Parts: sequence; structure tokens; C-alpha cells
Amino acid sequence: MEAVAEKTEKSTLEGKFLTFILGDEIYGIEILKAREIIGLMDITTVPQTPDYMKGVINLRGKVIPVIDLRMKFAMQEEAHTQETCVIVVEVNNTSIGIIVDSVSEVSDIGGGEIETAPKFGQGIDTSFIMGLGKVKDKIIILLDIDAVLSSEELEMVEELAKD
Amino acid sequence: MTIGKKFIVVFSIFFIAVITGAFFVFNTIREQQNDKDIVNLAGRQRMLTQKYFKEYINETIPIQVRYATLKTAKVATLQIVEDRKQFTKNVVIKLKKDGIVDVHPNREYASIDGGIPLPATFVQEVSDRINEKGVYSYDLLSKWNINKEKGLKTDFEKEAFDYLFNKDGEEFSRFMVHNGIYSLRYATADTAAAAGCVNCHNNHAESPKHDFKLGDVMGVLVVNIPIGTVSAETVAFFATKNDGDFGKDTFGKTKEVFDTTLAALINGGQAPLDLGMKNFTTLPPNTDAAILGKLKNVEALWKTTQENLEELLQVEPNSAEYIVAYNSAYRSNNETMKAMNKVVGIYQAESEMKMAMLFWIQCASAGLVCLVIGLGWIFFARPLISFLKELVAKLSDGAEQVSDASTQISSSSQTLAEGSSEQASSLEETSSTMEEMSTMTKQNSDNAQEAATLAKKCSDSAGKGNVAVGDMCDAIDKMSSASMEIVDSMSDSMKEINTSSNQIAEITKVIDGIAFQTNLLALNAAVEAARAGDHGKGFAVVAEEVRNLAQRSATAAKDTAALIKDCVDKANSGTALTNKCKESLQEIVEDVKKSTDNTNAALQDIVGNVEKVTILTNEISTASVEQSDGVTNVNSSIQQMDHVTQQNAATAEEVASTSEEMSAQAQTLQELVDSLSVQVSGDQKLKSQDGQDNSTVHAEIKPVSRKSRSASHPHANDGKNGDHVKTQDTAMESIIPMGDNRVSEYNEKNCDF
Repeated sequence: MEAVAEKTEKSTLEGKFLTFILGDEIYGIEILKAREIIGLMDITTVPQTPDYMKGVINLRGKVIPVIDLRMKFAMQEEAHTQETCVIVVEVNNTSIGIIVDSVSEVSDIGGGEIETAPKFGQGIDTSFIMGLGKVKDKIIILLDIDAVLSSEELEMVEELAKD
Repeated sequence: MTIGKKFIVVFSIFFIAVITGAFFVFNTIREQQNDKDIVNLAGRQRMLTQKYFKEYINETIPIQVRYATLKTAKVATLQIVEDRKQFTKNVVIKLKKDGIVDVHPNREYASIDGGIPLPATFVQEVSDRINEKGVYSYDLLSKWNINKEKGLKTDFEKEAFDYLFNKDGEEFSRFMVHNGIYSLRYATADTAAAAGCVNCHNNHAESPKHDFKLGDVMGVLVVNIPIGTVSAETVAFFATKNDGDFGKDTFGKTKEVFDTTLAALINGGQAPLDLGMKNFTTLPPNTDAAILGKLKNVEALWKTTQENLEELLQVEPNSAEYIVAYNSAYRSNNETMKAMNKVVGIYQAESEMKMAMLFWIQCASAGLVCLVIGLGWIFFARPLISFLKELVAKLSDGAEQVSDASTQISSSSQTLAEGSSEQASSLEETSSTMEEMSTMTKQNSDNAQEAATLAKKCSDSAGKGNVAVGDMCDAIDKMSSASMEIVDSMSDSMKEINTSSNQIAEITKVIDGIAFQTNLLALNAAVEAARAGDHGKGFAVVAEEVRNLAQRSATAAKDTAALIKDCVDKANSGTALTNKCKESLQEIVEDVKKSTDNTNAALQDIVGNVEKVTILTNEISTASVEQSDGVTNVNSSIQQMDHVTQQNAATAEEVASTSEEMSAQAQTLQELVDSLSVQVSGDQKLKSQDGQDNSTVHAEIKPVSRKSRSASHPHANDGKNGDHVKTQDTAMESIIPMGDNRVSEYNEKNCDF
């Protein structure tokens, strides 16, 4: 426990990441981006929004837009299970819920275990990937949640939140 | 005999040999120096004999000149005197005696009738004729001369006149420049020899003196013999030297040097090193009979040479006697030189013999030195070197062994430290886990109690079913028509069982849900802890542990659900059988009993299974309580273990540092051994081998020490971090019951119900 506290900063990326599972892969977002994790609750759909924008939820009296990350990442949509969770993240002072298959844990990833995002060549945007964390034999895709939720969507989200 | 004693013996022999050899060599060299002097002196004697002879002969040249010139002068004087005497006696006096009156002796006789020359005039004129040939000239000079031109003019003339007038000697001569030519001036007294002369001079009108008597010195007759060009030495000789100085600065000195040297060679004593006789060397007395004999011979011949040369001075130059004397002197001089030559030869031979002896002494000394060095090698150096080689090899082995041992100790302590570190972190983790587990255990226990109650209900229902089956069996024989009703009630019981099972499934689902919620809460707590920054770090760990426990609870619930599912399956199969029974009851009455038996068996199974569930849940409950107690015990044990582990780690660190130090000592020892081995054998091969060994040992030690240092801090970042990751990984892989399988399982269950 003290060791965690004593942990020295080696890289700008290193630190605690909230890891979650989407499909077969493990993803991670910076823990400070996460506000809280809640179970799936009733989602009020909002018309005239993209597919991945599932709607809004009422979280303790606060209206929070919810995005299905599977659909955002153009993955096959699957039925929600008991494990399905909503991670409330804070992007540009706006809370957004993202639906993930399940939440794993809070991982401490050292600077030496983080590789920069791979370059696949021109036309393939990997800007939303901050890096790849190597923990044991697995790779955790570290998402830049700000990049994932682009400003366009944020505007939409803000509008929804106003409604 | 020890090496030291051998060394002393060998060194003593060597020392004595060196001292003796040096003494011989120095003595011989000193003698050789003396011999060199003697040979040089003897050689110089040969030269001196030649020098002496030449100088002597050179000295006789002016003497010969003087001799010849004086002789000529004497002859000329005699001629002049005799001419005048004859002219006076046979002409002037005879004419006077014969009474011839008209005869007038006068200087101006040519212009006087009957005039004849005066005797002096006559001689003068004859002399002038002779002088025209350049042979000699003469002057008849006097204080009282009739002819006034013939007075005394020069110092020589005055000195000669006084000398001869006083009758100090009969002749007066001097070599000097006269009328521009180097000449001998030879003066003799002109005495009044006849009465005629005295009368003539006393009576002559122009004569300044008139009292001449017979035998008086009337004037001086000076004969000048021109010599012409002569050497400066001759001039100096005639100008300065008397006969007593003969050879004083030339052969006299040579003779002195020769005599002194010869005496020193024969009898010993001071011998001059230079001809100026300023530096001397002292010679020892000669004891060699052969040389002494030769030297005596030289002495005798030297004496003869001198006698011959002295004789040369006694005889007339260029006379037959002179030639004889010269030849004999020359011969004896040569013999002296030859005799001296022989002496020199003997001296040289002796000196060479000594040199040869010196050479042989040096050879012998060199041989002795070689022998001593060989002995030193055999008795001293070789055993010492072999001993040192052995020593070096042993030391090298020892150092290597020490080095190996220290490496082993180092690696062992490293391993120990690592183990301790791991143990400490594991213990820490275990401790916290235990604490969290004890709280969750209670919740588990409560849930298990509820599950047990439900299982009891299920069991009761099964028991009722069993009774119903028994009743049916009894009634079958009596009331086959009522069997339908019984089957219905049986079916109801089955449904009841199903309901109970469903309720149990619901409860396990609730447990699972609680676990899930707990997990979510734990994650939220972790998120909050992370947001709290450094202050939340402790909380983060707690949240992590809570999550782990939630996952364990979920696992337990999963196991329970599996059992319940089995139970439900069995109940379902019973229901199916009952339904089948109900359908075929009317048609096949005989089969009813059999079916009922089957049903009975199925019900028995249900009861058995339910009982198993009950036992299991009870066991869970009991185990939970025991677990709680155990956790406390384990916790205290873990504290002790942690303490011991810390001590272990500290000890391991100490051991590591000690082994490092030991390794360094071994290194130093190895270096010393290396330098010794180089000193002993200069063996680069041995050295390089050792060096390699050494370097490997050193290389091994360094990382070990580094590792041991890190291992000795069980709280260090690396170890802790690694453990943390490991724990998380384990949790992720095995503990979390949230995989796809788990989800599908629930789906299936949902489908069933």
C-alpha cells in the first residue's frame, strides 16, 4: 500500500487506469477521467440522435447522456447483461456515460509498461489511443476518452443535457 | 640446509672469489704500471744515446771552425812576420850595411830616387795584394805608429794592445763582425826583434816615440780571417761561451738524464719522467740478474762512448785521428743503443708475460663467477622459485575458492533477500486480505443461513412428495381411479419444489448481485481514491481488497447456484416422470407402480440433494465462522512472520555486504598473488589466467551485490509494484466471476425459468 503511494512518476502516461472489457479486448481510461461506475439503468431514448447515442439517464437528479461504446467503435451490438455497466466520465466538464461490457479493475500501469500508440499508416486514425499498456501478457488499450468523444458529439451531448 | 644458509655459503664463496680476483687484478695492474714506466724509461735511454751523440757532434762544429780559423790566422801572422823579418834583414839592413847611401826606406818610396819601402809598408802592400783575393787582411797597429792612420781605433784593438803590451798572453783573438763580414780577429804582439827596427823607429822623424828598446812591444799585428755566413748558434757560441761551458745546455743535460735513469734502473730510486728533470718516479731496485747484466754492459759501453767523444775534442778536426775517434765514438754509441734495446726487449717480454698472467687470472675469475652463479641457481634460486611458484599456485587457488565462496554466499543471500521480500509483500497482502475477508465472511454466513432455510423448505416439500408417493402406492391397489388426483397433488409438490429451487436460485442471484454491486462500489471507491490523490492511496488498497472479497462471494454463490441447478434439474426430471405417469396411468395400471417407484426414487434423490444443499450451506456457515476465527489467528501469525521476514531481509543484506567485502578481499589477494607470480616467474600465462578468473568472479559479484541491496529493502518500489500487478492479474484471471461464461450461465437459467 505504501508502495503505491511511493510510486514515482516516470512517464506522463503512467498512473492508474480504470480497465474495462469491450468485446474481447481490455481497454483503459485514466482514472481521473472517470466520475463513477454505475449499473445499467433505464435509458430514455432521445430521437434524432446517432445510433450509438443511446439516450439519457437520470443519475441522482442529473440528466446524463449515455453512449454505447460498442456502437461507437463500430462493433456488433449485444444484449446487455448483468455485468453491463455505465462508466460516467467527465469530458470538458461534462459528464457522459459510456456503456461497456464489464468493468475490470483499477490498474496501476508503470511508465515502462506503456508503449506509444502504433501507427498503421496514412488514413487510419489512432489518435484516440493514448498508448498500449502491457500488463503480464495482455495488452490494455489506453483510450484518450477526450479524443473518443469528439467535440461534435460533445456539442450534441451538451444540447441533450440542456434538454 | 635452509635456503638462507645455502645463500650465505654461496655468497661467501662468491665474495671471497671476487675479493681475491680483484686483489690479483689490481696488483697486476699496478705492476703493469711500473713496468710501463720502466719500459718507457728504458726506451727513452735508447733515444737519449742518439740524442747525446748528435748534440755532442753538433757542439764540436763551432770548435772545429775556431780551430781552422785560428790556424789560418796563425799561418798568416807567421807569414807576415817572416816576410818583414826577411825584408828587413836581407834588404834594408843589408843595403845599409853595404853602405849604399842613396837608399831611402820610406812610405813614399815610389816617388823618391833610391827609395825602398819600409818593412811595414812592404808587408802592408803584400798583404793588400793578398787581401784583394779576399783571403785575409791584416793591420799593424800601435799607439806610437809612424803611420798615423794606423792608430788604435776600435775597442778590440785597444784591448788587444793592452793585453799584449802587458804580456798577459801571446795572442788575443775574437770572433766578431769586421768591415761587414763575420771574421776572426787575431792579434799578436809586434815586438822589436832587431836593432834596426828600434833604431829606425827611434830615429824616424815622424815617429812619436824615440825610446824603443830591443824586445819592446811596439804594436799589435791583427790578422782578420773572414768567415762569412755562420749559424746563429755558432755566433752565440763564440760570443758567449767559454770552453768550460762546452755542452752544458745540450748533451750535458742529456747525459745527466741518461745517467740518473740508468742508475735508477740498476739500483732503484728516482728516475726523471721528463727531459727537464722536473717530474720523477721511484723505481724499485733491479733484482733480475739478466737485466742487471745487460744494464751493466750498457753502463760500460756508455762510458766508452763518452771517452771516445772526449778524445774527439783532443785531436785536430778532420785529421786521421779525428776520423778514428769519431768512428769509434759512433760505434760505441750504436752498441750502447743496441745493448739498451736488448734491455727494453727483456722488460717488454716480462711485462707481456705479466699481462698474459693477468688474462689467465681474469679468465679464472670469470669461470669462478660463472660457477658461483650456477651454484646459486642450483642451490638457492631454483628451489626458491619452485617453492614460490607452488605458493603462488596455492594462494591463487585459495583466492579463487574464497572468491567462489563469497559469490555463492552473495547469491544465496540475494536469493534469501528476494525470498524475504516476496514473503513480506505476500504477508502484507495476506494480512489485509484476511482482515477484509473476515467482514465478508459474516455476510456470507448470513446468506448461507437464508439458503439453508430455503433448502429446508425444499427438503420438507420433497418429504411431503415422498409421503404422497407412499400414499399413492398404497392407494394404487385400492383406488386406481383416484390415482389421477394423487398425481395432481404430486405434480403440485413438484411445482412447490421447483418454486423453492427458484427461490434459492433467486437468493444466489441476489448474492451474486450483491457481489456485483460490491464490486462496482469497490471500483467507485478506487476511482474516488484515485481522485483523492495521495490521501486516497490507502483507501484504494482497501477498495481493491473489498472487490476481491466480492468476487470470492460471487464464486461461492456461483457454486451454490450450480448445486441448485442440479437440484432443479432433478425436480424437473421428477415432474416429467410424474406427467408421464399421469398420462399413461389409465392405460397401463401395472406400469403405475413401477412409475411410482421411479418417482419415489427421484424424490429420494431430491431429498438427498436438498439435504446435500443444506449440509453445504451449513458447512458454508460454519466454515465462515471458523474462517473468521482462523483469519484472526492467521493475522497474528502473519504479523510475526512479517517481523521475522524483515529480520531475514536485514540479515541477508548484511550477509550480502559481508560477502561483497570478502569478494573484494579475495580480489586484493588475487592481485597480490598475480604480482608475486610475475615477480617469481614473470609468467604472463599464469597471470592472464588468474586475471580472467578474477574478472569473472568480480563480474559475478557486482550484480549480486546490487541485487542483494535491492532485495534487502522489501518495501522497495519494484518488488512491491510487481507483487501488486501479480495480485491484480490473478484477480483478473481467476477471481472475477464476470466472464462471458458466467453471463451465459445466467442466461440459460433465465431461459429455464
